[in-house]
Amino acid sequence: MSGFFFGQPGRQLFGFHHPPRGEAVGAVALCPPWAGEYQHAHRSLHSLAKRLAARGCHVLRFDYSGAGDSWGDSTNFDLEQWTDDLGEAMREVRALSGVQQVDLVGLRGGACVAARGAESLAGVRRIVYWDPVTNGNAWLHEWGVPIGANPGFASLGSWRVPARFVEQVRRLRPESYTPGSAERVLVLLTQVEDRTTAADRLAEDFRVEMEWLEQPAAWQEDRAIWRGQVPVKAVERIAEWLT
Amino acid sequence: MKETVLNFGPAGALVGIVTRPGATQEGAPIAVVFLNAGVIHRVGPGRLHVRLARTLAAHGVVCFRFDLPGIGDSRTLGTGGMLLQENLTAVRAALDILERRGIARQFVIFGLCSGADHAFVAACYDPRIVGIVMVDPTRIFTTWKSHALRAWRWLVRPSAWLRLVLGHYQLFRHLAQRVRPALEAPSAIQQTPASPQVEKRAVEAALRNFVQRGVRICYLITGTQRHHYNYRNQLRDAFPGIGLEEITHVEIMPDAIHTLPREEERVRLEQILLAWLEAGFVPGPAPMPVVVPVPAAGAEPVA
Repeated sequence: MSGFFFGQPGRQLFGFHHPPRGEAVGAVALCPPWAGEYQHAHRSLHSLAKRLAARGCHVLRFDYSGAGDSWGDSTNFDLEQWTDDLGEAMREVRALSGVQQVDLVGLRGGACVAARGAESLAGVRRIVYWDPVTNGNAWLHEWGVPIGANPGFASLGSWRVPARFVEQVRRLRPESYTPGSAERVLVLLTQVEDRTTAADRLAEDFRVEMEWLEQPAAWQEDRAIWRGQVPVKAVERIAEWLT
Repeated sequence: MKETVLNFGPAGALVGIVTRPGATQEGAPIAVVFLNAGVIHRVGPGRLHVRLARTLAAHGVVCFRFDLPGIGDSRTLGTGGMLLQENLTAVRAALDILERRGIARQFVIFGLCSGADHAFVAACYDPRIVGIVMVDPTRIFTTWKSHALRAWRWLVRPSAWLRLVLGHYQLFRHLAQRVRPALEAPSAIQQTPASPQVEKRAVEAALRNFVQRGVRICYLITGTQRHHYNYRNQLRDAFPGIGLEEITHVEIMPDAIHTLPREEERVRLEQILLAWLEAGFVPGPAPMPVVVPVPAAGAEPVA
């Protein structure tokens, strides 16, 4: 396991490579959630990466531009930029593994980036949409951005984000999560409310499998431990489905 | 500005990121090392540490952010020691790698919340640490004046009286919670923390040591801790007569929140840090390298 920077000079992205234990069976790029959800979910994504590596996958965790350890600040990015970042991450994991077809796992907002990647990037084999954000307006409202507002910048907790990003998020719907070019898709939901609102519309395509596991929300802070809990069953299920 | 990842420590278990100014500086006078705030990984709460490191680097200061064992991307060291011992071993490993690579030989440790506590303890054991930045440490030492100020502020607040009249303080419930444990049988697992007096004597000894060594302290209190630390000289009054005024710089940010999420709080913190670093750490000859023993349980701090 090792951390490193990759991508274009001056616009470097942080990545963390988990090499496979034993013979490689695949390559996976993990798309993290956004804003405060990223911070709380870091442990769960680390845990998932380790499980996948233990099952023979090359795994790359990475940070988008303006997030985590990657270049830039949070006031200058949008979903196009982050989709490009995913493209860089896929190139990197291909170079690390020699595997051309890459699997994607997107948690919360990261599922949206994975979905965009499946639409516009070549070489996506399978996708796991893990608790995708299916109502952009509601998500913004949870973060304190008023419905209908269109400020120059919006505050998502400690993150000041540009208006164009807010508008892109506002348009998120269940139908934003198509399989794209992927062969198979798993939509894994762990929260009761998402089970009823989004499930039917997400599962319309024959390539989509829908599963529901009642688990703690990886991206929400558990005040007893000051970070998100690791939803062990969900992590196990994703690792199992991908290997 | 240039950032590089360091995988270091025993079996490369620890992960950190060096942020250097644009012009590569060999042997910078100091480097600022950021410790985890609680269990948040090295980017800091709301990416605070990333921003601070890049701002300081833009002003010529080398910075290093890393994860303590078991946090973020760092693995545990497997020493079998207590958590604090593992953390101190990791801090030592971080300073070792920075020194060995010629990045810096003296260090300022930045810590928020539990990170501030770790910064304080690490400075007791490693003479290469010449300064610490403590933002909202978890242990605040009170004085008669701080108690009086707190009581006075409560008395003059109409909303406090209203809450009392309406029963919102639930005094009886709180009293019962305090009395009940004393009446119940002791549990199987007993924690035996040091008494406040013993703890205060240990901190005082450490502070005397800092004064002797010239370890500078930048002590920052946000609104979250203002009930416990409510006037500028409280630290010096809690430990009088040891010359703390020579080494301490105290700033109270009463409107700031613990993790400094707002833009104006972050700008203010940057200004405070830059001014403090510029005033206290002018470039000078680097000290001779020292061999620092890893503290075993019950080890004595450096004299």
